[in-house]
Amino acid sequence: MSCSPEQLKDYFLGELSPAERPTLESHLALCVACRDELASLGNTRTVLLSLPDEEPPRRIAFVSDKVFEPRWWQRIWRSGPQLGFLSAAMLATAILIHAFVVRPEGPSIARAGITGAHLQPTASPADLDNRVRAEVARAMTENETKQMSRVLELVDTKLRQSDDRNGQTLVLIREYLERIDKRNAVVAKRVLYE
Amino acid sequence: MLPIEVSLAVERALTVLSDDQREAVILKIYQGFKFEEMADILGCPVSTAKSRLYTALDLLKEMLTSVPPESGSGFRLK
Amino acid sequence: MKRSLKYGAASLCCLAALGAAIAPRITRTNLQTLEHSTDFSFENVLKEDPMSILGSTRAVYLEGYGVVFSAEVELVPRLTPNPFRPPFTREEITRNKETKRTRVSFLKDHMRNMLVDYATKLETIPLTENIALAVSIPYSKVEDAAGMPRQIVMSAPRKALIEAKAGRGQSMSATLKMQEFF
Repeated sequence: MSCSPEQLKDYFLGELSPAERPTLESHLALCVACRDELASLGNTRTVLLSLPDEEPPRRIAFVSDKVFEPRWWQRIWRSGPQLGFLSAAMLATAILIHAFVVRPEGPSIARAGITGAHLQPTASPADLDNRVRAEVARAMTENETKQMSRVLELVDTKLRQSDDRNGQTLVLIREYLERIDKRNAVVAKRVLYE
Repeated sequence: MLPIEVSLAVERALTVLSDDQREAVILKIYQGFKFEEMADILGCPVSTAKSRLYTALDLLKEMLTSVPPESGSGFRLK
Repeated sequence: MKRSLKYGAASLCCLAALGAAIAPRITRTNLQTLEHSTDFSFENVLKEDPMSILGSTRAVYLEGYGVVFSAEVELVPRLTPNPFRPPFTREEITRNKETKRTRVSFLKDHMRNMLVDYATKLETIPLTENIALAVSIPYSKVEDAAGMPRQIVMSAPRKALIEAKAGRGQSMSATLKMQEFF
């Protein structure tokens, strides 16, 4: 077979069917480019997942960086009725993984707290732009319920349609999503009010 | 690279993606959903979910190529 | 002119009296502080294998009864089933239940300590009024939750809690009411 970047990614993500795997693996044995690509995908995933295990707001550090002006949240947040799935969960995840928020003024305070190995709490989330907080609060309350209800509806429907084999997975997915939702509400409340 | 620099690099890379692409990355890479599950959740065909993710992965690969994978301190979605 | 002044003064007195009766004994801000500290307490009392808040603590003052706190707490988050890890084996399910049972005992002790702590901090609440703490505990459909409490409610008069802290009066177990809901 010739190189197929898509199949390679399927394989990398564990989504290649068992029938197709042997063919791809034989190709890999012979193709340096694909092996390199696979390694590159692996590195990318490792880097993506190598973020500090931090949860706001107790361990948010602030850096001064024009790239991350308060509008950063706008990129994650779509305006209008058609919000992305898990928008609230995404935002909370984004806050979680994006452990830095911009304060253009006060770089010395921010820098003082950064030792590199640890993320020290240097400024309180109360420093977040009030407009940002209001937007987040409004968007999360209005749309989180809508989006999560939609997801839970889908899961509910699927649960009723599926056979027992998938029943447990879907129950677990639903519980997982509900738990995410609850944790996000707790985290959001802390970010906004502490 | 210091862990903090890795985080900055990842954050920058993720903000460059479109919302659709970022959604796909978070669902697949961070939350581990299968494509069928993603399609159900996003309300789009599997092929769409796949193409969003794969385009995102290519972009991320380019942007994060200079970040050594051993740096950083580990991520867990609480 | 005189009559209207007299009525005016009388109504002012009435209003003042009414106002005094209606004014709550505690402000929202004070209760909010205690809500946050409750959340913090549940999540930080155990350094290793900590509990987790799934429902932020809410506090309500009921005139004549006292203050009621309620929260939802995950006993052992690390044992929560999720679709991305392999399912628990029978032995693990049994073992997890035992772990959670032990954790429930610990939670009850901690709740007693919290009630005493609240009693000290809620200075404006009359000693005759009560302090209650209700903790809801979620379980997964795929774990063995038979006989496990889904909600624990503890309450005691503020006076008894203060005395318990000072080492005086009846032991707390005599005055503290606990209800478990399964």
